[in-house]
Amino acid sequence: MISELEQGLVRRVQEGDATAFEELLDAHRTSAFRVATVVLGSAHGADEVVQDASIRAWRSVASVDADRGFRSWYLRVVANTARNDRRSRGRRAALVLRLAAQPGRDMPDPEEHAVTHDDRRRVIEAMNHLGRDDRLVIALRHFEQLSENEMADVLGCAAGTVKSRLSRAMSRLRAQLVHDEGGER
Amino acid sequence: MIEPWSETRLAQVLASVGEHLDIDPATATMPVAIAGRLRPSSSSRRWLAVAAALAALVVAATLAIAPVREAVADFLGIGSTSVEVVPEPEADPVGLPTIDEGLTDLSPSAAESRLRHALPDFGATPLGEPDRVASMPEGGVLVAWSDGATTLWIHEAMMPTEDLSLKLIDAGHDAEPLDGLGDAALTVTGEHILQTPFRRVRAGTVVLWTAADTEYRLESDLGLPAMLDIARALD
Repeated sequence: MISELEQGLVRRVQEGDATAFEELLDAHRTSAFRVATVVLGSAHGADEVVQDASIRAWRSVASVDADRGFRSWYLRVVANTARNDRRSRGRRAALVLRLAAQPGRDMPDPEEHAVTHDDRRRVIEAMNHLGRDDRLVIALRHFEQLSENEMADVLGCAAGTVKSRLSRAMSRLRAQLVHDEGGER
Repeated sequence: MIEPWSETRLAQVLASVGEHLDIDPATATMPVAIAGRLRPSSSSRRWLAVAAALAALVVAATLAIAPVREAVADFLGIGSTSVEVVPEPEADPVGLPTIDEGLTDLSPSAAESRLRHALPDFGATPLGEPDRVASMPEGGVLVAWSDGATTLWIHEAMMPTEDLSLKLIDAGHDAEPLDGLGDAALTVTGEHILQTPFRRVRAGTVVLWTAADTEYRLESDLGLPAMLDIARALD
C-alpha cells in the first residue's frame, strides 16, 4: 500500500522539487544500499552505485507512477545500475556478502524470534553459494519484504514469474543449508 | 542437534540477515552527496543547457582531465542513454557493425505487443511506412527505412532489462540539448560509437528524445534538419 505521503512526495518530485526527492531517497536509502550490495556481490562500490542510480532516477522520475510507488521503481534503477557497474568493472560474479560486526557473544536477539548470529552466518554462507539472480530475488522478498507485485516491478517480469523464481531460489538455498550442515556434523 | 530450516524459521533468519547485512558505511552521508549533483528539474531544458555548456567547456579543455569526463557522463544524458567521452583510439568506430545488423524481424502487431503501445503514425512523416521492423536484443523495437539508412529505435526510457546503460562514446563535443521535442531531447552529430552491454556499433547523427516513459533514437544520413522534421512529425 502506497502512503499518501509518498504519493505526494513523488508528485512534488515530478514538479522538480529536489527536496522532496531527497526525502524519498532518505526513506529508501538502506534498501537501496542492500540491493546494490547484493547485486555487486559486496559492499564495496555500493555508495557509488546508489549515487549514480539516484541521479538516473532524478533524470527519469517523470516515468514513475505515483500510485504504484517510488520504492520498487527506484530499486529497479539501483539494481540495473549495479549490474551495469559490475559488468563495466569486470567484477567477478561470486558473492562475498558479509554480516556487520557483531558482539562477541552469540546470544539470541529476543526481538528477532531468537535468531542468533550463528543462524545468520549459516544462511549468508549458503546464500554466497547461490547465483546472483537467486540472491537478488531472495533479498527483495526477505530483506526488503517486497510483495510479489513490487518484486515484479523491480525485476521487470510478471508476478507469476516472480513466484516461481522465488520458489526455486528458496529451494536451492534450503538445499545448500542442508549440504553445509552435513559438512559441519 | 542442528535445527531444521522450516519455511517460517528460514524467513525469520533471512529477515534478520537483511537487518545485519554489512553495507557501505557511506550510507549515512549519501543524501548530502546526492544533493550537490541535482538540478532543479529532471526534464528541464535549462538543465540540459547547463549540461551542454559543461560539455563545451570540457571540449575547450581538450578533454584532458579524466574526472571532468566523468562529470560529463553524469550530466549529459537522456532516458537510458548517457554521453561519455573517452580518449582516442578506443573510440574509433571504423569497422564496427551498424545498429540494424543481426536483428530478428517482427510484424508491426508483434512490435506493438513488445512495446505495449502503438507504433507512431509513420505515414505522417516524410519517410512513410517503414521497410523493416525488428526486435532489439536490448529491449524495444527498431524501425528501419532504406531512405537515408534511417532507423528509429523505440524503447522504454528506463530500460527494464538488466545491464542497459547506453553510451554514446566520444560524442560529448557534438551533443546538444534540443528544445521543442518530447519531454527532453538531445542531438548528437557526427560519427560515434553506441555501446550497450550487448553490442558496440557504429553510429552517425542521431536525435534522441523522451516522451512520457518512452525513449526514441532516430539515426539517419539525411542530415539534421530533415531528421528534426521527421522527429517532430513523430512526436
